[in-house]
Amino acid sequence: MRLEGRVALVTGGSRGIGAGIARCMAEEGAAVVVNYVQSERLANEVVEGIRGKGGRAMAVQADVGNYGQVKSMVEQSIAEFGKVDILVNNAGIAGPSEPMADISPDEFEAVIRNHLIGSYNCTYCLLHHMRGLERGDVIFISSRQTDFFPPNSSPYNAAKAGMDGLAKGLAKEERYNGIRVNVVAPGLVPTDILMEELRATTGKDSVEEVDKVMPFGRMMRPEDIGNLCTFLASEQGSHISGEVIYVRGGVGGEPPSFYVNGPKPYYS
Amino acid sequence: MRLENRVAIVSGGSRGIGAGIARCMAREGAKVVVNYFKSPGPAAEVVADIEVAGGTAVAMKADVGDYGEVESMVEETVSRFGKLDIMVANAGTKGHGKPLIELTHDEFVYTIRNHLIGAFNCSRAALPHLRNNGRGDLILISSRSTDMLMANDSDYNAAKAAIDALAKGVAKEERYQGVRVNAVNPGLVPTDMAWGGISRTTGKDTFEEVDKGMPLGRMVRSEDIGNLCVFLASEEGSHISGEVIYVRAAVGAELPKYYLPQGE
Repeated sequence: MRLEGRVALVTGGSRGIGAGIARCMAEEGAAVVVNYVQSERLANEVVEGIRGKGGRAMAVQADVGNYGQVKSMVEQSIAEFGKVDILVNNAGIAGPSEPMADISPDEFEAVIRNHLIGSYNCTYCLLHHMRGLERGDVIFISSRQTDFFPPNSSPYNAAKAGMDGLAKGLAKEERYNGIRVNVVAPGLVPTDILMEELRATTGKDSVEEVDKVMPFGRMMRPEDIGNLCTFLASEQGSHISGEVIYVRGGVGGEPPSFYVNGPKPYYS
Repeated sequence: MRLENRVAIVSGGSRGIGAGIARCMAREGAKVVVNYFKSPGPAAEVVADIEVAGGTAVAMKADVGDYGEVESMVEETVSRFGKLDIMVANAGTKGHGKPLIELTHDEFVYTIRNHLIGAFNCSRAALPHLRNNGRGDLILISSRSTDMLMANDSDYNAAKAAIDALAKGVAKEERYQGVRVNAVNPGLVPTDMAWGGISRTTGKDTFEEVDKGMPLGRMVRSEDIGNLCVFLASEEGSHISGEVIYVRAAVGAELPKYYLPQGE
């Protein structure tokens, strides 16, 4: 149990990648706060799943874009588990798939507020608390997009690149305070949002159909992301800080059309 | 045991970072070939340590710059253990520490041969075997220097930057063959190779004295590098490939003088 005695707060922990991270960390012994905004039922399912395996978890509602709500979530977490020494900034929303010229200022701000301001809110709210602990870990969940910045994704591109920059500078500020700060950037994980995009761009309709043609036999799963987060927060990953690490299964800065149709001869 | 039934070669496994990687992999159940070139004594010690801890290891001599010797080492590994599924290309030598204008052709080629040609030789000789077993892992040990590219380090800079590039391209070639390819880039690890410089810069005589003033409480150790290599080669790291991952304790592209504790 590599995270025994630790307490993790996973924002957006009710679904998708966040739920995978919450489960992985709980399996390694961490008590987990599963944050959600709208998906109360799913958050409770994650909590029940963890408790069913003998772990400790609770669901807390908060919109990470709202500092007041974040503050109250952090207070509740500390009241319940005594501390928070792992923060995973995972919550986010899909951005509009349109050129910037067609995106309204409100649409742009909504994405920035959720991803970037949300990460700032949670991190700022916990930093002083973490400095008083033996060790703290802040993990930002960013995206494969920060290595290739596709068009028609400007709010998402800006939000995720902003998170990468935030993390790298913060790691240096906190490196004498025992706080590790890293970015984990997932590749294709079959969430609802991604499947919609793949349907539109490749015509492939099911997760299995896409898995078959992927490098290493499948897309990423939330557990792949959770395993890296667990490693980073454990003793084994204790001297990795300030890094951006992609989990994308052998794919570089390539758009999915380069690999979702299977292997190609080397000359094409 | 996260590497049970796996067979690994660690080039330059007799000392420093390589020895740390060999020990970590053996602790997780891998059978380890500890490659050495000039240090049979230290290689034998690493093997003995692993065996005392209940693991399996063997020392093998090969100059990684010589393709024939690397190929024989790989063949001997396969005949002894039945297969090869993890290759860690770690062996290397110090850069010459001079501006390019003073660097001789032979000095430049020497460093490139030991690092880059060595990494190619190890990769090339291992790949047919790595493809064979459902899963293979190729890990190239690079350096923090590829994010800094400091002056007076051309030979080392060029060798290590090329190793990063090699890892990223080969990862794409091998991604439908089950072979994972990554670069692991250590920060300042107090090995025989690096300690002299650290000691001079800081004016301190022991690791512990330097550790006290370091980010996150200590310099990076060989085990930190070994732990990441184990993670990447394990089931948990199975979908990370084509990445360059630094283990440098919150130090970015900064000169050591910005974070090393200064002398009196």
